[in-house]
Parts: sequence; C-alpha cells; structure tokens
Amino acid sequence: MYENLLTVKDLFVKYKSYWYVYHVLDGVSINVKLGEKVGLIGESGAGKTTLLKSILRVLPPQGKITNGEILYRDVNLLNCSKQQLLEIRRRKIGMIFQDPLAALNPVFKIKEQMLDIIKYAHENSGMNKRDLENIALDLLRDTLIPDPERVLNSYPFELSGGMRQRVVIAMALASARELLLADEPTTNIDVTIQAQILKLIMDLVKKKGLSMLLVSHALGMVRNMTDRIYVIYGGNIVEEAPTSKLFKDPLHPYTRLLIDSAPKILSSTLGEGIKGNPVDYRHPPSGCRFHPRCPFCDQEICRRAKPPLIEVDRDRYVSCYLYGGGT
Amino acid sequence: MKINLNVLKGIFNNAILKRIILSLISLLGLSLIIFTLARIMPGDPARMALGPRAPEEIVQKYREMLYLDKPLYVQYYYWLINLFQGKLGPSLTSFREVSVDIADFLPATLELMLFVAIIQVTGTLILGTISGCKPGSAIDGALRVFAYIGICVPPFVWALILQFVFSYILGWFPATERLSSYIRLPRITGLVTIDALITGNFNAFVDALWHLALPSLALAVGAMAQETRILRSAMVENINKDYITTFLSHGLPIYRYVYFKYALRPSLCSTIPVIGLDIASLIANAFMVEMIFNWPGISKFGITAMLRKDLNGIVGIVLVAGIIYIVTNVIIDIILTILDPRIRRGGQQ
Repeated sequence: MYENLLTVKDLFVKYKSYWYVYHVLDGVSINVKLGEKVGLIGESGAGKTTLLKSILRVLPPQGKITNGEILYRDVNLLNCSKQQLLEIRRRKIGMIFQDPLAALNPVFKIKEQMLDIIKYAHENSGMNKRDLENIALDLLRDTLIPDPERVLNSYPFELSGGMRQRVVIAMALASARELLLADEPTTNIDVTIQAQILKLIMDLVKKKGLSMLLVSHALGMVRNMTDRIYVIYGGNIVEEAPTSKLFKDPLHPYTRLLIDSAPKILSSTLGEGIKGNPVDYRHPPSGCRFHPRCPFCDQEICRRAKPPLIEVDRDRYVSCYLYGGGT
Repeated sequence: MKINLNVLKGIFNNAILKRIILSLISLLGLSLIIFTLARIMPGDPARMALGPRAPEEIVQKYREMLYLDKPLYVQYYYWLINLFQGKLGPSLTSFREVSVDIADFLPATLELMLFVAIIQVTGTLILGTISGCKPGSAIDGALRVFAYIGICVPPFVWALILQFVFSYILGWFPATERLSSYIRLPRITGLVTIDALITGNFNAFVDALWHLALPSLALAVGAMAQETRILRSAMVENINKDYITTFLSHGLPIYRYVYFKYALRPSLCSTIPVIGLDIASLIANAFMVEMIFNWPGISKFGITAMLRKDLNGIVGIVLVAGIIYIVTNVIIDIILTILDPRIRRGGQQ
C-alpha cells in the first residue's frame, strides 16, 4: 500500500579507536514508508544515533560502514554520486539533533547559519538574500517562535533551550521536504516544554506531509507519535510491531523489560530496571546480544547463534528463540 | 567580514577602554619597578659613563646632573616630569636623549616584528587548517614532525641555519643588513618597506623584502610551529562537535563552508591569544636574531645599555617592550571580541 521511502538493509557499523574496534550496528534492517511515522526505541548506547548518522553518512571519522545498503527511494546512499548525496541532504532529509545547544555554532548568528542552510536547500532557484531571509522567517514562524526577527539576529547562547530546539527544528525543516529524522528531540530540554516541542513536531510533520523516523528512549512520547516501532538492543533490531500492538503485548524479553522499567506517573512503585550492563561493543556477546541479561535465556542456542527476525503475526517481527527460529 | 559600527562602538565603550586604562596603570607600575631596579644595582653609572680616568669632580657634577645624589623618590619624580615632556633622560652610552635613540633603532625592529607576524599568522592559518581538517593523514604527520622540530629549535639556531644555507651556500638571500648599499632611500617612517612604498621606489621595496626574508623566517618558525599545533587540535576538537554534523547533514560544501567557516572560526578563538603573546614576546626574542643578521634594531642598543648600566636606556627599552606588549594585547582583544560574540555580548557560556 505504501511506497518504501527509506530502506536500510543489513547495516554493519564499526567504530575504531586506537586500541579497540567497537562493533556497534550488527546487521540492522529498517524501512520507512511514504507518509509513515516510525519510532526507534532502545536504551542509551543501543546504536540509535549511529543508525541515524549512518543514514545521512555523517558518522564521525572513526565510524565505518562495513556492510549493508541504505536506499533512499532507489538511490543507494552508500555508493551514489557525491552530488546525489548532497541533493538528498539538502532537499530531501532533515535531521533534528539531540542537544539543541551543541547543534548550533556558538560564534555565528542564527541568521548566518540558517541562511547558509537555506541557500543550499534552495540552490539554483535564483533567490536573493531577501527571499532567503523571508524563508528563514517563515520557518521560524512555523515553529511558533514569537518574534522571529529577534531570534534571527541572536546568537545561540542568547536563546533559551526551548527556543534553540525550535531553531534546530526550523533548520531541519529547511532540508526536510520528504523525511524528518528526529534524534531524541526532547532529551536535552526542560521537562515543562518537552510536550510543547513534541506537539510542535507532530503538527509540523502532519502539516508538511513528511515521513518521520523518531528515535527516543522516552516510550510515552514514541507511543503517541508513531505508527510503527522498531526496538533496538545492542545494535540489533530485536522487535518490530505496530505501535498499539507493541505496547499492548510486547513479545521480546527486552521489550517487556523496557516497557516495565519506564517510570509510570500513576504507580507508587518504580520500575525494576534491567539487570546487567549494556553491551560492551568491543567484545559483544556471542549469539543473541541480549542473552547475558535475559531472564528467559535457558537454551544453549541463545549463546551460540544470533536469532533471526521472524514474522510471528501480521506485521509483527521478533528476534528471539522463544518464538521459534531455532532448529 | 562585515563589521558594523555599533559593534565597534560597543567594544570601545566597555572592555577595551577599561583594558587601555588598566594598561596605562600597569605601565606606570612597570616603570617604577624597572626604575628602582636599575638604580639599586651595584656599580656607579656616572663613573662607567665617563671612564676611569675622568677627574672625580667632573664625575660628581655628572652625578648631580642626573640627580643621582638625590634620594630615589626624588629621582623618580624628576624622571616622571621629564616623561610628560616626552623625554626619557640622556643615555649614558650614546650621550643622546634616549627617546631619540629609540626612535632611531626601534623602526627596524618593528618592521621585523611586522613581517614575522605576517608570516606567523598566514603560516599558522594555512598549516593548522590543513592538518586539522585531515587528522592522521600523511600531511598531518609531516606537519607534526615539522612542528616538533620547530618548537625544539630556538630562533637564533634557525637564524644560523638559514643564514648558512640560503645565504652562504646557496647565496639566494643577503646575510645581513636591511637594504643593499647601492639603494638610497629617504627616512620617513623608518620602516624601509613602508618608506619605499611611500616614495614609490619599487626596487627598494623588493630589496627590503629580500633582506627581511631570512630574519623574519628565523623568528617565525618556532612560534608558527607551536601555533599550528594549537590550531590543529582546536580544529580536530571542533570538527567532532555536533554543530559540524548539523551542517554536514544539511549538505553544505564540506571545505568551503563546514570546515573553513564553521569549524575554523571557533578554533581561532583559542589560537589567537597565543599568537598575540608570541608576537608580543618577539621584542625580547629578536635580540639574538638581530645580532646574527646585523639588523640595526633595538637589540644592539639594548645590550649596550644593559652592559654599561645605562640607567635611562634600560628603563626606556623596558618601557618600549611593555608598550608593545600592551598594544599587541589590546589588538588581540579587539580581534577576539569581533570573532567571539560571547565576549562581546557578555554571555555566560
């Protein structure tokens, strides 16, 4: 029914430091269909940001994509021409970053930074500076900034956290004509305005008809904003399900524990949390990467071989031997 | 870079003006310290100036003329009064007014400093950016080796090496002096290159540059090596920042915009103060190099003044060094305030 907009197939990403190799993404496959809002959840360090950065090919120099395929419509981002990649970065995909202060250059005015981005997003359209500035003002107005003129002439450090995140969103929207990648857009801002920012992103995505890939470890937020969810643990996609089904009936042990450990406002007790440590990417566990922490791991095969992602129900995939897949 | 007038006005209203006033006060303090030091050191300046054979009564007269028979604070009072009339007192070695001596010798040193600064800044910008953009590459490795050698070898050794190789063996550059002897140039500012430009004497200008090349390079190499390392590590640090990823993810041209604009400018904020300090300290470092290239700068005057206990000469030279230091620092402050809005607008981060 939907056309596939973004397809990531079997992606492997390594980071190399002087002493170690960190095997972070371990065969990740996801897809985002046209007009769909997809969530990606998992704990800190699960490889969520790495995946997003890989999609736009903006990994830090230590990060290497060693295998896999990233298709945007029918362009393979891993071996397309430089011009095609720039075209996609400038005019197709926009990305909202985690930390709104770090995402803005501290020594340039917002105006300078936004105009540079808009200039390339509207390359060859013959616009003069005045037109570009109007586009910037429109984008800032879209993000409900009360006096865009003043914000445009400010430096990042003169704005509040919420304002900065709105500016970052406005910048992302300059490039996002089709797909918006949002990397934990509310983690680093004040709790009281997190809901506002979320609603803003939701409204803008709807208004502009964008598809979205939302990365977060805030489950409540993902639940309200997405159609479909991928659960990522230690660089593996462990479960994929439509949002409503995932929260009603989580299948993978990690998903269950993750949902249980989220603090609930109406409950008097805190969640249990998940025992054990996140994956050490230098020496990832053999077999299923979750097996050292998994309360249900009783089969020898969990330690031996990586469980395949199998379809257990319509649109529901899980990577765990509890649901079959072993021999 | 566009600089609107309001920005400049803002700068001068606040920080810089305060800096200048504070600097004047510290100059006064410096003069007091060096004035006292020069006078409480053992040795009789008047006797040293007139020689061992001068009759005692003449030496005594000379002492009275210099107020050396008066208490220290009275001497300082007379010295200050002279200073406000633009005089630094008579030199005990050249027997001329010290300010005249300084006006004679300083321009050559200033010209040298100017060219060292130009070489140093352009060299640092180019080399630092190249190695910062591609950390770990072959060219970065080569520049690293160059930097370590540059830092370890002191300027006067560079001077000797350069003079030996490029002037004695290869004969490409002159070994000493500021200008070839067949060129006649009127003295206007005392800076040969500028005088040549003013009089439109292009040959003299080229000749002066040709003479400046080796001494300025010798002085610039060490500082440049150090600053290249600082700029490089600032670049490497900034390139890993989120905002660089932001601009990359929007598809801005990687070198022209992302590196040379958005990574370079914040990196300069940490490099420029060091460049400033290095340029200011040239007045002291230049001594040896000037001697080697027989540069008619302030070094010869300075060393004679120290050795012969030329009271007024010493104080004059130290004050000049202090003024140069302060002026360079104020200039650096202004540049920094233009580069970094967080200083200008009094931000807290």
